[in-house]
Amino acid sequence: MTECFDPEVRDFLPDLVHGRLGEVDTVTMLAHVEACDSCAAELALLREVRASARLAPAIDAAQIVSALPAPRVAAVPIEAPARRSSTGSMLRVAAAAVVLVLGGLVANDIRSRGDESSITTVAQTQAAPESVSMTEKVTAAEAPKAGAPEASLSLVAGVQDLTDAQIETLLSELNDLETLPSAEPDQAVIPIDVSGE
Amino acid sequence: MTSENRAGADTDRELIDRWMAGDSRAATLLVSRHSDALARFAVSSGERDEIEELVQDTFVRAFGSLESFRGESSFRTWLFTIERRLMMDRRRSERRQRATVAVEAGDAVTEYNALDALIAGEAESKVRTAVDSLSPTQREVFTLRVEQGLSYKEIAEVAGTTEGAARVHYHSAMRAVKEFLND
Repeated sequence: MTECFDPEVRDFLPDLVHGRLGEVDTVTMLAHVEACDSCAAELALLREVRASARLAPAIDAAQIVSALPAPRVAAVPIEAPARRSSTGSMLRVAAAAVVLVLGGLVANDIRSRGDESSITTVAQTQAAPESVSMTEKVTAAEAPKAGAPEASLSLVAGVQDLTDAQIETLLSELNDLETLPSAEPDQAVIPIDVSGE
Repeated sequence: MTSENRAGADTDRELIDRWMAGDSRAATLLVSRHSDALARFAVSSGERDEIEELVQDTFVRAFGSLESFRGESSFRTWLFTIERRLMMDRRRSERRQRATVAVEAGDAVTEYNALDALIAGEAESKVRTAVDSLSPTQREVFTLRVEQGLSYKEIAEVAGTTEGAARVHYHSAMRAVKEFLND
């Protein structure tokens, strides 16, 4: 028997056995096999090999299906809570710090007035002819005593008016606050003793 | 010449999409469509015990990671790849066990083969012996090509080799089978 030297045709013999060729290719292949003893013999062998394949046990599809994991239904994608940006968090902390310091400032102001029984607003304070400016008052009231560490913060009209030490203290407190859970800060409630005692 | 795609009422891709959308009936169709081929592949690869368990494990693995099936190969090829890995794991585990536990001769494999030979005719038995005499790689490529009808590209994906290497293994195997039968 002469060996067929068309490797492409021989390559496709298994596809012919499995019916994986298109209509035209199938006709072409069958025509070749009819004229080529070698390919005819190989095709017969392939069919024999396929027919002699070992028996496989019957598979219970229902049992397999019952063991499958439940489909993960594609639900409406739930967006993960957006991570708060460090800038936004800083602003919140800064706002909280402003509230706290404002409260402290007002309390200090009241204390420094001694027996004044009413709370004077910032506007009223500035309007009064005998009163000093808020900046001066705060500076005087909160000037650190000799040897005492600068622990407390005071708020003035703007950040630019803070001393270097105060800015440093504020920044370090902000850094500490950054590690807290990013929940909205509680409303700062500062008891004000209006009697001045 | 190109291989023709298998036609069907629902393609595997459509059934997979239906299953992922919550239609459990699609799984039944997919399992029914491919389970026999997986069982045959397991047997032709030399597995004799717990074939159904192996096929089930293959489907469980496949359905558990369907999101990772990108459809670059056919679903069946992907299943064969998973099953092949499971068979390799199983053999590794068996080798480890054999290293520590003495195994008695005359086990279920022998009984299975004897029963198989009784059912098969003489000519069929000779063909089987010829295929069994191939090297493991040749036998795997040959059975995937002849019994399962996979293309060289698909065989390369399943066996983790190249298309060219699969073609060479197939032709070497065919030559060896012919020589065995002509002796």
